[in-house]
Amino acid sequence: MSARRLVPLVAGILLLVALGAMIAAGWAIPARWYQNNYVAAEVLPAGKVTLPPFPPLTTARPFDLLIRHYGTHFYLLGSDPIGRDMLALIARGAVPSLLLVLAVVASRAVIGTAAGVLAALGPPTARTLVRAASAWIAGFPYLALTVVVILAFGSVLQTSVEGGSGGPSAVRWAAFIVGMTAIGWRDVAEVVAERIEHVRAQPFALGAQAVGTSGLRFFRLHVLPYLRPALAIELPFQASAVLVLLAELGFLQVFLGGSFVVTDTGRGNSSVGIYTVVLQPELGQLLSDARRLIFYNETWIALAPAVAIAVAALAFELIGTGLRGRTRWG
Amino acid sequence: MLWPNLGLACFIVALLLAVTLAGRPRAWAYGKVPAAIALQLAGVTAVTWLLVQAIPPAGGGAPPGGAPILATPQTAGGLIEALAVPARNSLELIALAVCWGTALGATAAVLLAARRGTRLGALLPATVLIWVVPTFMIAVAIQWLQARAYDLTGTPVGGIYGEAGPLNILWAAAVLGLRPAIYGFRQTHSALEQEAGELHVRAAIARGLPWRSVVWRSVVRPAAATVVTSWLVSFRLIVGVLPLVEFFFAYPGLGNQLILALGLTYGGGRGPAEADLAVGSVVVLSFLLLAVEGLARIWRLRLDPRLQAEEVAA
Repeated sequence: MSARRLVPLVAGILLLVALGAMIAAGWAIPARWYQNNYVAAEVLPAGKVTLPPFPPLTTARPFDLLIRHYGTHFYLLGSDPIGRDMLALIARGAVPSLLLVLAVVASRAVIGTAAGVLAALGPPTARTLVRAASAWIAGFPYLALTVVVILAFGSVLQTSVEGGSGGPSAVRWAAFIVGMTAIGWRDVAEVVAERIEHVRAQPFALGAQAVGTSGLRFFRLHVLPYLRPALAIELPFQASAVLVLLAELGFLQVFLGGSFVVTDTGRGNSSVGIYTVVLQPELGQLLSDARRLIFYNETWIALAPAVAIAVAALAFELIGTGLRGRTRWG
Repeated sequence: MLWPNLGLACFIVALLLAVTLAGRPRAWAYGKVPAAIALQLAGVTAVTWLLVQAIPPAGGGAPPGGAPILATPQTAGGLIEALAVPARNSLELIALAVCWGTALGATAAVLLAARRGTRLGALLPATVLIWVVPTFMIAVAIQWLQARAYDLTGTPVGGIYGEAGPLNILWAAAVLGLRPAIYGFRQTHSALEQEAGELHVRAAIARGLPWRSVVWRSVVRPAAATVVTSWLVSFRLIVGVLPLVEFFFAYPGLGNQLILALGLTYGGGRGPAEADLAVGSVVVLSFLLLAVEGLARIWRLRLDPRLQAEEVAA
C-alpha cells in the first residue's frame, strides 16, 4: 500500500485525537465556569466591566448578581450569553452527542445489515419488501422525515421542548435514535446487499455452493469476511452523516437536552425571545440559537460548536476514505 | 380524513396502472415509473399523517412571539391556498439552485474533460475541501457575511426578512446549490474519466478525430445516463436540506412552513402544531422529489438504449 493512501486515514485519526484533546481540556475546566450565571465581568488587563457574552481569547473576572467574584478565567472560545465558558460547554456537550452518534450508527448498522442480508439472501418476497421499503424511504425529504419522526416519538416530552425542564431522557434518546436510524439504514443495507451479491457471483462462492455449503455456514465462511471491511468503511461515513444531521436538527430547534428561552416582555403582554439558554449542553443544541447570535454579532457562540461538529464529521469522512483506499475494491 | 383519502387514491392509481400495463412489457418499462411514484406517495402520505397525528397540537399555547405564526386553514380550499404560495416559492428556490448547481458542476466537469492538462485540473482537490463543509456551515458563513455587510453599510443585503424577494432567493439558492454543484462536478468528472478510457474512445482518437469532438460524441453522450443519475442525487440533496436552508434564511417556502407547522419557532420555543399544513408540506415536497426522480428515470431510459432493453427484459 502506498503511503499516499494512508494520508486521509492518518489525517482523520489526528483530527479525532486533536478533538479528544480539546474535549479533555474542556472537561478539566472547573464547574463554576460552565454552571454559574454571570451578569458581567471585568475584562483584563484594562479592567473594563463588560456584559456577557465574552469574545474568544478573553481573560476576565466575572461576577454574579450579588457581585461575588469567582476568580480570573481565560475564555479560549469565548462565553455564552450568561458568561459560561464555551470550551467547557462544547466539551460537556460533545459526550452526549457522540454517544448519540454511536447509538445511531450501531442501530443503522444492525438494521441495515439485517435488511441487506435479507435483500440479498432472503426469499423473493422478503427481497421485494426490503427493496420497496428502501425506495419508499428515499421518497421522503430526509430532514423532514427525521424531524417528524423525532417529534412524534418524543411527543410525550413536549414540556421539555417548551422549556424549563432538565436533561435528555430515555424517551427523547429513543426518539432521536429511531428518527435518525429511519433515514440512514438503507445506505448500509445497499452496501451489504451489493457486497453479498458480489461475493455470491465469485467462483469460490459458486464452488462452495456446489459442494453443499449453504445457509449460515456459507454466510460465516464466505460472506462475513467480505462484509466486515465493507462495513468498516461505511460506518465512519455514517458517523459523519449522523453528526451533520445532528447539527442540522439543532439549527431546526430539535435537540436532546433541555433549555429555556430568556424573554423580554413587550407591549400588550407580548414577549420577545432573547436567548436560548442551554441547561444540559449537547452539540446540536448549542447551535440552536445560531441565527440570532449571528445577527447580534456574536457569531463565535454558534461557530465554535459548528466547527467542532464539522471537524469531527471531516475526521470520520477522512477515516472512511482512508479505509476505502486500503481495500481492493475502493 | 383528507390525507388518508389522498393516500388511498394514490394507492388505487398505482394498482390501476399496474393492472393495465403489466401485460405489455414496453409500455410497462415506462408505465411502472408513475405506478411507483403513486405507490410511494401513498406510503408517504399515510405515514406522515400517522406520525403528525402523534404530535400534540398545541401544548404550550402561543410561541415566544405571542401570536400564532401560521393561521389554521379551515377548508380544503384554504389548505391548498396555504400550500400553494410556499410551494411556488420553494419551486423557484429549488429551480434556481438546481440550475446554477448543475450548470456550474456539469460545465466545469465537461470543460475539464475537453481541455485536458489545463489549470482547471486544480479544481478537483479544491472541490474535496468544499464538499466536506456541511450545508449548515455554509449557511452560517453566508449569514455572517450578510450581517457584517449590514453593519458596515446599513443595507439589508440579505433581502427583507421573511419575504421571497430576489435577494432572499439568491442567497438561499447560493447555499442550497453549492454542495450539489460540487457533487455534480465530481460525479460527472468521474463518469467522463471512466468513459474516456473505453475502447470506442481510443478508436476515435486513433482515427484522428480532434479531442473536443471525441469528448462530445464519444465521451459525454454515453456518460449522459450516469450524469443524470448524479444530477438526481444532487436534486435529492437539495430537497432534503431545503427545510434547513429555508428556516435559516426565513425564506417562506415549504421547508420553512413545515418547521413552523410542526410548532418549532425561531426563538427555540414550541408553538401550536398545524397538522394539515405539516402533512401537506411533506407530501408536496415528496411529490416533487418523486416526480423529478420519475422523470429522470424515464430520461435515462431515453438516453441509454441498453437500460431500456434491460427494463423491457425485466
